[in-house]
Amino acid sequence: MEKKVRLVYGSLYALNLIIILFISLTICLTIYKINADGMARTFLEEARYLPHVAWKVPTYSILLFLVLGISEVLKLLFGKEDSLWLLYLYLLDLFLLTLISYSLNFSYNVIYLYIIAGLFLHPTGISMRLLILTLALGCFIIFDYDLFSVRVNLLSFKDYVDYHSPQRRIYLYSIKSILTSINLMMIILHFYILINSKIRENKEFIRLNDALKKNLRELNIANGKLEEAGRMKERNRLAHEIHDILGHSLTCISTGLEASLEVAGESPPLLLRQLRKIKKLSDKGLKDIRRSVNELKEDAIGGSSLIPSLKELVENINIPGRQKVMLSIEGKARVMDHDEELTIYRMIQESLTNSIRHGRADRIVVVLYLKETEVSIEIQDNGSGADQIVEHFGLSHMKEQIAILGGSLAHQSRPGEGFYTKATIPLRSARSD
Amino acid sequence: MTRKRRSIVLILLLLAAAALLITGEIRSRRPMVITMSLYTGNSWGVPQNFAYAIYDKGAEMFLSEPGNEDISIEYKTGNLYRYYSEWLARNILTGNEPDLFLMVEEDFNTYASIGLLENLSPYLDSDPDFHRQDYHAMTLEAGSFRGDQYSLPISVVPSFLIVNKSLLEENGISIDREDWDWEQFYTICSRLSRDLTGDGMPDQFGVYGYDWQQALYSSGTTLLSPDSYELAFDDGKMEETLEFLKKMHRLNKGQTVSEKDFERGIVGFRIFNFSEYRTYSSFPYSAIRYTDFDWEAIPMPAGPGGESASKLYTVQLGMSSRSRHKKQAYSYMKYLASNPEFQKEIWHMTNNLPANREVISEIYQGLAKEEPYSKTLDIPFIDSVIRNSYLDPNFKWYRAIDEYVDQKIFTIIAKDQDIPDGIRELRRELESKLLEYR
Repeated sequence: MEKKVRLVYGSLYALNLIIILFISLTICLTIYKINADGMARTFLEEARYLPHVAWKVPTYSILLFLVLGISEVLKLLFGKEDSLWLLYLYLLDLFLLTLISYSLNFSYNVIYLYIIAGLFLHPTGISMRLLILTLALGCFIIFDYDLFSVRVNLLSFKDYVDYHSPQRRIYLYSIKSILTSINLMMIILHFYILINSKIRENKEFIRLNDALKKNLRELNIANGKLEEAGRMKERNRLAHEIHDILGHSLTCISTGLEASLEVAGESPPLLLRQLRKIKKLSDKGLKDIRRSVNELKEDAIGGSSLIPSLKELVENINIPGRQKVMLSIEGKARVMDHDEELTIYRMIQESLTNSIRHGRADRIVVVLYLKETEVSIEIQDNGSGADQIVEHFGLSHMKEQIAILGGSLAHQSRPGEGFYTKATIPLRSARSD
Repeated sequence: MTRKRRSIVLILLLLAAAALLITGEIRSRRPMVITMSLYTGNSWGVPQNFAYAIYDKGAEMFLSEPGNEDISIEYKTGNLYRYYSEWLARNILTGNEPDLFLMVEEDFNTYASIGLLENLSPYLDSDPDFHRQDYHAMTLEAGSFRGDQYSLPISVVPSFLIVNKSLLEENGISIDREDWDWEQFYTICSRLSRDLTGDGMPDQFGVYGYDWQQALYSSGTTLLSPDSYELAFDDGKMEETLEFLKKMHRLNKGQTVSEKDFERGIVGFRIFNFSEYRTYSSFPYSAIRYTDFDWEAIPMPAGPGGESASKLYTVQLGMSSRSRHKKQAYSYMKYLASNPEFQKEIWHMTNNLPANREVISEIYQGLAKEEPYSKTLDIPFIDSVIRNSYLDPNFKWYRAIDEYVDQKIFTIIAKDQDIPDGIRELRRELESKLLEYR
């Protein structure tokens, strides 16, 4: 695309060169024809102004336009890294174009559009582009023969063409008009291609941005998983340590005490009593350690799946107290990753704890919607509710965990109307399908 | 890498600038050549031998002045007066016009108005050596356009009438110079217009070469206002002029009077100029022309309410506004126009009158005893003729206008058109022409 734009711009330069060549040669050759026809004095009589010197018109205008070409090359070479250079080069361009316009008797102000077309090829700042654009358009408007000749004494291209026979006049006017029209069409083509390429570029940007966003989300999830896995690993290690070292020691102590008790049949009753007491303590300790380790190792949902674990959780609340939790599950059970299951479980657990502890609710309804792409949970209690929801550690942690999975958590509560929680978690399995 | 490239480009640009400066310096050190174009012939149509000699002399004198050692002067010659205008125009279009050029009178207004001529007013105003009062106002006026001076006069040629004294005496006519007006002029001319052979056609005439310009300007009106493109003539005076010309024309009964007729001694008056006067009244020309009768100069007759008026010819020198050596060119043109030594040479080497008045007085003092200048062409006569002369208007398209008026007036006079009708037509058509030129 870049290449295409440059190609059109290059052709625009060539076309302008041809137009300048045409106008300047017409002016120059007309003067030589006037001289050859012996009409010099008459021409000067009819001219309102002193004409440019014949040979200078093509020589200067072409040379100046070639310098403009050099400036274009310089812009390509250095424009990328230094915008100050670009500014100087553009100002030089405008100066050159004004000189060219002058030597062409301001008969070709369309040449300023060439600079405007080029303005969008270089990475200029907005303010600089605006400045050059304003200047170039200003020149385009001011340096028009019809306007400018009011102030400055100049012959027009028409004055030269009108010297020729009507037949030739038609040719000359047609050529100029056709060349100028082609030039305008080329400028339009240039902008068309430029805009098209920009649109394409924009689309590509949007696509890349979307992909980046998605990647970032996935990265966040993976990160969450990794964290969770790390935590689990550490917990397991701790459990093993406790079990292996402390458990082993306590087992040793316990068996040692047993042996001691057997050997100590004749010992004073106080010692026996103490030993039995210690034995009891160590047995209890061992039991406690085993239970703790078990809890640590298996976590709440342990190896079982989410739904049985949830049912167990609810049952555990329902058995002892006056609180009643109703769990309903809608939809088919989905394959979920461990962290997803864990997050859902923790979220429900936390909510129930909050309802009972802070809301003093005695009826809690938990609905679990298992959809194809996401899981949503709605929890409503009949607790005291609150005007303002203060996010303590549990709540904000919950929110964080859900956000890691790309889900959302919302609360709603009013005094006397209980507490409502809704969470939605998109399922990874659905996304990767 | 790019830093390196950029410095290379900068160095190249600096080198280019330095090269330009150096070539400019070398150019300016070469001996300065001032070019100046000359023509042979003149607008008053009097042959001049060795036309360039005076300019060669001028260059020689100027270059021998201290301070002019680095200057050289180059003349572009070889153009007859009538081809000169086209030649100069061609060189202007190709940018080859010389620094200084003699002006063809009709070119002056065109070149001043298109900006080819350098405005000399700033030079003259800041030059303590130039004194406007050294010149007749009319000679400077010929080089001024819209209040600014664009060319300087080198020499002037006033015009006047000459009268065939012998013919007048033969016919028993004497001129009353105190009351020299149209009426007397007409009376004399009508007495001179006589049929001698009895074929019903006059064989002796009143005047040769008297035309509408002399009549109109001496009637006290002008065709155009000096600095605008507007008609200025007074209908009444124009009518008087045309009546007078018609009356004069009728005297000839359709016969065309030629210069030869005057030479043959059968015409009473003819338009004459200073250059002719000097040519034909001194050796060797005096032996060729007008030897059969006695003649002398006389001013134009004054019109009713006007004064005597005759055309003033001047040789004007202009400077191109595109000259590269304006300062030196100005000093040379000023030298030609004002230097007393050179101005004296004009008297000696040409038949023109030097532009510098002081020089004329000086010359006349030296000539006091000599004939024939001291007779009628004395300083008061010359002064009054120049003072009362007219110039073509400072007007770009005047040549075309002049030609048109010529033709129109000829039609009115020769075809005996009704005068008020003719004037109305003239005014209407001139106005539309002027509008077109504007």
